[in-house]
Amino acid sequence: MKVLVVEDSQRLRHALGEGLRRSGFTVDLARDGEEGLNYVSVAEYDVIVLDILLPKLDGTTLLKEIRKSGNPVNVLILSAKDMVEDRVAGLELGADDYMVKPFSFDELVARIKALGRRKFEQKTSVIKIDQVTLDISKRQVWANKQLLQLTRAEYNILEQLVLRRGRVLSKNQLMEWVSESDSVSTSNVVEVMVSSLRKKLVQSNIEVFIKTKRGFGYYVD
Amino acid sequence: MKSIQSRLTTFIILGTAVLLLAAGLIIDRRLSSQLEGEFHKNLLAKAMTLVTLSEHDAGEIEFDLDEELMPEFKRRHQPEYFQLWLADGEVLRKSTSLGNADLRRLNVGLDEPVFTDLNLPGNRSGQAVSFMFIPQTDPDEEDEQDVSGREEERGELVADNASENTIRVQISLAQGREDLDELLLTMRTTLLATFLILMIALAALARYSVSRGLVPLKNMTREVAELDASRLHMRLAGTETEELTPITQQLNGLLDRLEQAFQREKRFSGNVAHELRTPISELRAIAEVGKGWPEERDMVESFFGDLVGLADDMERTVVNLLMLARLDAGTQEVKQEPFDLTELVDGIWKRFGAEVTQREISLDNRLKPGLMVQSDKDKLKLILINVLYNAVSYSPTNSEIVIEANEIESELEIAVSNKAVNLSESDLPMMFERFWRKDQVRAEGNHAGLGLSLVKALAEILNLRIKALLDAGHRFTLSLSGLAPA
Repeated sequence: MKVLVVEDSQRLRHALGEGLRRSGFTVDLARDGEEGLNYVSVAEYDVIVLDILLPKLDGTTLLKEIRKSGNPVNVLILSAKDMVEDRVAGLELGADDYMVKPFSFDELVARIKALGRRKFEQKTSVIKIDQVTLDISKRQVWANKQLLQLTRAEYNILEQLVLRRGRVLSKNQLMEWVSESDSVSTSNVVEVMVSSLRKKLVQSNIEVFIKTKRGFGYYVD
Repeated sequence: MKSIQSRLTTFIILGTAVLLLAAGLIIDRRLSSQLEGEFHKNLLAKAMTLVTLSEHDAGEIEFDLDEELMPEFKRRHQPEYFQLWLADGEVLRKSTSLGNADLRRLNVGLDEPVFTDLNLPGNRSGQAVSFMFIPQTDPDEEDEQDVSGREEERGELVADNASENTIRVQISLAQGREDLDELLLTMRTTLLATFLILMIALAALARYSVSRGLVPLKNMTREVAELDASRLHMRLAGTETEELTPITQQLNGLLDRLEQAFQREKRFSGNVAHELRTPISELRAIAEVGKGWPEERDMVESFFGDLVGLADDMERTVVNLLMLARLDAGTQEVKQEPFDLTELVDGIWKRFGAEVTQREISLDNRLKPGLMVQSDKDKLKLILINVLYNAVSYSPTNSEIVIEANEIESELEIAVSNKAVNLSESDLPMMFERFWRKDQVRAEGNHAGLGLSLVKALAEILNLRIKALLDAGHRFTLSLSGLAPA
């Protein structure tokens, strides 16, 4: 799941970046509203964690811009403003959730996951396709009742394919979902990961789960 | 405690009581003297009747009174008394009612009635009239004397002509004054009763009208009682009462000022609370993430620098707030001492460490080494920390802050300048207000917006003049002048 954090406090950005990455998210960090808008215009995110009091372009303006462009991304506002009217204003502008600073990091992670599920209209955190079961909140994959040992990137690719099942995702798209915008990687990485995933699935007697659409990419039925 | 109501009521009641009593006394005086006068007139008239009954007949005085016709002189119950004397003191006649007793014979003149109070037999109090008269001559002999007309004239004539055979008689007539006293008593009781009824009615009326008159005051008391800290927006409704209008206005004015001060205080504490949320959420996020992956040494170590910066920020906020509170309370004293300013600036700059290195901001300290000044070292240090911190906050990445000193007329002027891309001319007057800040100041680090308001307050007590300038090249200069070299 890919998350953009727009936060002006360098220290908070640092802690959130480290924590969210270790919680299994692909994380981009923006220090002000303008930077946030740049990120949103070039990459697709599952969830945006947005501060309101931001330099250059404030959070509400950024949110309006995002919604104006028709982007349905889930937005969680993280603000020090704790009045009911602030929350209402944020939600009415098109935010999907609102958290008041100071906040619990674990709760933030849980809410980001819940918002990620909502994007795929997935009410529960457990998805079952044939003999493969994906637990989004625990980030675990079970194949024929066997727990698979996956790396973070492998899990992320599988999660995207399962959440968008029936849709063909290109290597580039997959790479974007699993890599952070400022990191450098090639589409080969995706190929390597997909073949490693398939190998692990075969070991659990799942023969064809991730299918290849030649010239386009991969998909899950 | 004195109440207006009871004071007014007492005053009205006492005042009216005095007036009514005075009026009552005057009426009493007038009426009783009138009644006494009437009584005297009747007494005299009756004495005159008795006089007409006496005759001078050939050297003999005859007194022709049939007590059967005038039973008042012999009856037992409340009788009247008379006594007649000849000039030599011999009793000519006295009323049966006197028995063996005598009326006191007074020394009186001819036809000059004298009224006296006296005790009558049977312990009655009474009044008597007494005078001398010359009995009239027998009417049969009247021709001889060639006298006609009124009694007095006749008497005088008799007295004049009959110089050799003048016979004078003294009469005293006494009556009990029971009737008079009863009348006086009735009059006085009536007056007193009227007075009491009036006083009771008046007391009720006074109480009622005073309490009616005080209704606006009571309403106001109720309104004021409803006021408290949570309802400072309320104002007293204006009354129609002329006397209360200035009080209402004054109170409402006071409420205006109180509400403003209260709002200011609320805003201030609200701002403080808000400013503390950011460092607390940073602290919490760092702690929770560190706790979640304690084995990630690199990450955990990278947090330590953040924590130091966080502690610095919070410390600065608290020191600034405390100093502002003390300056507001006026409990700060100024200690003048000579010290090395250049060294002070270098020492402050060292503490900026991590943040300035990261953003490649450098300080060009152009103060000559060993520049001594005379001022309050701690307060000037706080000023410089905030001015430099402000400069760092505004400075873009990779820029230079300059501090320099100019000597103007044996006074030092310290100027700190930095590049401030997003600052505009219109921000300058506002930047010394508490909690003001241009949004991008928060781009890096926390800035509670207290710094420059503290700088202003401190400069004031150190007698320094402060000036903010923005030149066309977006270079911001904050200068402090009036510093004394040592």
